[in-house]
Amino acid sequence: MKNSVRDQRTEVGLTQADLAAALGVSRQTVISIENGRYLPSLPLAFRIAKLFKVPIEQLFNPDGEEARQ
Amino acid sequence: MKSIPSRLRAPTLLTAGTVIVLAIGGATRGWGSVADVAPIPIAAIAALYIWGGRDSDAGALIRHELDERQAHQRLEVQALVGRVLSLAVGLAYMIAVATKANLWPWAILLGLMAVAFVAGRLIYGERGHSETDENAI
Repeated sequence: MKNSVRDQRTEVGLTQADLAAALGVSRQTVISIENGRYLPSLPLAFRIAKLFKVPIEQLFNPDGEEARQ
Repeated sequence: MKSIPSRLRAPTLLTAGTVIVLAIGGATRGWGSVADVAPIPIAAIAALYIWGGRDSDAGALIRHELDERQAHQRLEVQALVGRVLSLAVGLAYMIAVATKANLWPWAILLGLMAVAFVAGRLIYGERGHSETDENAI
């Protein structure tokens, strides 16, 4: 599963720590999501999409490589 | 516990436990034996305090401030520990049978494992994904 979280984050000028604070997760979790090592839960994925004001399918692409859980 | 800063909770608990164990050990086995083993828990308390202050997964685990990924990670680690312990207890039981040693301590542990498994199914079963839906077509 590929995602564009990093692209969206840099586009709005947030650091990983800023995004982590906004989502209520750790910086390490943001790094893991961006690197595709962790697939967020649906509630967290929706929170990310809401934060960036984009549809969830624009953030997460199921046709990409499988992420490791 | 809420009044204690999160970084201090684990070290405080370990300190309290250490004081109790060392007091009992000192009273029953002499204070000389306490002095021999005391550096180990003291080092552990210091390590917990230092790691607990770090911005890392281990730090979050020690502070009990886990997000969903870290909680999942902890669950997987606990599952691994459980599997290893289950195997160890099973192995110890077989060794006890073979050597005609006391079986009851291992039998109690095996029984506890069975009870924990059933309790886990009852408590968490509804949250799983393997239950069949009666209304499914």
